[in-house]
Amino acid sequence: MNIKVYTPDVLDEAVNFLQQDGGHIIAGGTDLIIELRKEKLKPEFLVDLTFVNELRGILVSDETIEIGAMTTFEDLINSEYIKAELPSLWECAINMGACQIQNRATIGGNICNAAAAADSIPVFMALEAECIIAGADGIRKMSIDSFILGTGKNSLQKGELLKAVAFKRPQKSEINSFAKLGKRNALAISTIACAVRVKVDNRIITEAFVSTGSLGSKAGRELGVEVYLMGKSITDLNIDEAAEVLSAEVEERLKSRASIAYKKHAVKGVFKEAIEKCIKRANQ
Amino acid sequence: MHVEALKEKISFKLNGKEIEVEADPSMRLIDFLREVLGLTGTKEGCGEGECGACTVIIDGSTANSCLVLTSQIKGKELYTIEGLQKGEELHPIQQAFIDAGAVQCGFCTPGMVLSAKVLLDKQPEPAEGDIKRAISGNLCRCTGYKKIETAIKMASDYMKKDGAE
Ligand code: FES
Ligand code: FES
Repeated sequence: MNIKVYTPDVLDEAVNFLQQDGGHIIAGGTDLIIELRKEKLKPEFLVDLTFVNELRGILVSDETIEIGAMTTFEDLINSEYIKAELPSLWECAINMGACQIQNRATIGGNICNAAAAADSIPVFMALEAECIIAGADGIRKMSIDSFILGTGKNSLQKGELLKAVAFKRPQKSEINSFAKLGKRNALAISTIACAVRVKVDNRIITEAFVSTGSLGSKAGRELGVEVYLMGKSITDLNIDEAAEVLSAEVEERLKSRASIAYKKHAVKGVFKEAIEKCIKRANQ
Repeated sequence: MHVEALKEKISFKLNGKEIEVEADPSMRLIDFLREVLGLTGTKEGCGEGECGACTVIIDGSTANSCLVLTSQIKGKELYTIEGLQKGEELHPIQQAFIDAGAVQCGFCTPGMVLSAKVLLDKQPEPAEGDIKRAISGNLCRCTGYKKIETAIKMASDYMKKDGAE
């Protein structure tokens, strides 16, 4: 395509290249290469992060989990820790597309492209993740909710890149899950994702985090149903009632859109699937 | 006006051999393989990551070469369909595809075979679900997949026998 490509090995070097005008980052490339070919993007140069090893990997410490931006969905699928402790993230990864895409697509790319249907975003929102951003002046952090501005828009300033996402390590009392309707390549209208995380004390839900994707211009937390879940017993939860609360919330938000008739209905099924997985896990 | 193509030396391992080639690093890997290296076994179908005809193996994992830039393969280990055959002898997976009648027009075959190779390298005796998942990114318009799944099971047997010898 006759574009200059820088291939830095270390983070500082990558950030340095990005200080010039007209550059664009390439992470896995599974979305970007299509955009370049269609000339939707015409960068003067690319900064290829493939060789910046410090951006790839899953760091599990006592308190936190940090996932490097260049970590692939395959890396998540292969991680025993993620599979055991973060089924929401693992299920999102295994359902995100064909192997060829999972092997190349990265967490950072998925977040920064901020597609309305980017599955990892609701999962990280339910985990209250923070985005760690590297720039010429060092590191800054912000919640993923404020990092994503809307479809295709993130909060990176010129010269910055997403280094990692980090969140609190799930405690014993926490359960999380993910469900999704529709497949990749299906019309975006039919892809709805839902991530649920609850903290449970003696069977009672003490905190709830529910987020959805593809129901609006950006993924987001569903506060109404979170409030509904709080204080309820996870074993005798009225799932239908909870789903109605969520559906009403979605309807209120999207009422002017043509897709609402379908979406307010479909979201119930996706949510129920996710919460049922949580209940099953609570009973294990 | 003549614009000088932006070329640089790219070195990597291709089908078991270290090579170094001058190329435009922003070229798609599929174009690099077909046009620069003349390896036309890798096919281009959709050009958008949907069909898997362009599948190659990079560091032991499958990738759609239409969604990889040449810059991204520096220092990596790459396998294309041309790397499977040993001289005249077909790879057991290729043989199994022929024996099972899993090749019709053949357009999807190189990609299918490479997806099958990565699967069998990791799981020599895959379950049916593993096979389905491994080829879920490879579309075939001709066979309806059943014969391809049979071929992969046969290949697993062939490879076991080969290994036992
Ligand atoms: S040509 Fe690459 S996936 Fe179709
Ligand atoms: S044999 Fe024709 S596409 Fe598969």
